[in-house]
Amino acid sequence: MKHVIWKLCWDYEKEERWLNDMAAKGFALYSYSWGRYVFEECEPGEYVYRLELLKDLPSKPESMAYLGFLEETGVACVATHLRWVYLRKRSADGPFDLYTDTRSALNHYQNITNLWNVLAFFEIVASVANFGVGFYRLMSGTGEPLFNFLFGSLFLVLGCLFYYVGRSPRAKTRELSAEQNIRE
Amino acid sequence: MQSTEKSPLTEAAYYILLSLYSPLHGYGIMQKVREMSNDRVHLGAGTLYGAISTLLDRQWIASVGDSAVSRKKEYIITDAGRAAVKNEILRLRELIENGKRMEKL
Repeated sequence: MKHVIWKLCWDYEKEERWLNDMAAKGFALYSYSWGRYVFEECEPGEYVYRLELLKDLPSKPESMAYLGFLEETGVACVATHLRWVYLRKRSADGPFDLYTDTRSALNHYQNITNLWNVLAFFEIVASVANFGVGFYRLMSGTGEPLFNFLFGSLFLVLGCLFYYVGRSPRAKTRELSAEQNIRE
Repeated sequence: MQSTEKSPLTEAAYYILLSLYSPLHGYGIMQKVREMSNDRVHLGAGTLYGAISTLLDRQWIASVGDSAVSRKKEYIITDAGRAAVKNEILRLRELIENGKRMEKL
């Protein structure tokens, strides 16, 4: 039987934890698109889920080669969303960690941090531009500044939100960079 | 950083090279490495994939067989790969001997 849950997730780690909690209860994700999670029933704890941010879109040959390789190791890609992939492995097939040394884990968290930094940066730029135009209109009396201030505020809030969401991968990146000085 | 013949290999790269003295596919490498390390080293699929790509670029390992026939790609160590392993053994031996001397083992 299919179970559909609509949910908005900002934080991929919370999302991953939630998907694993669902799998532990016997609901295995098998499709996702824009906030719509579809679960099928499974043995409780049958699967472990991991979310990963690929360097390219999943349809690119480099990504397909990687996903093909994962499949050989018993990891199935059940859904994709932009550059994100939803991966699962049977728990009976052993532990499911994609990155087991400092360098590759660092790379992984760095990618995610970059994504949120870039998004935050563009929101802040859009915000500053809107406030700029708003003030210009206010001072020169050449137009209605209200919407510029509204959008400026909205982009500012979004920018802060994206920066905030990036705090966990950012902290991991810092921690692993330090670790890399003395350990592999 | 300039990588030379003398710079250390990662544990993952070293064990992947050791596992490929006979041909294996990705999952086989994971299992072989676990076995060799008495269950200590579990290679994550992402880590393994990155290491294999670089080892292929360096030509320290090569793909064997026709991947169009069997879907799973198998890899094997090359002469250059074996030379890298030998260099690493010399380096590790030095580390161990110095450590033993200081700790009086």
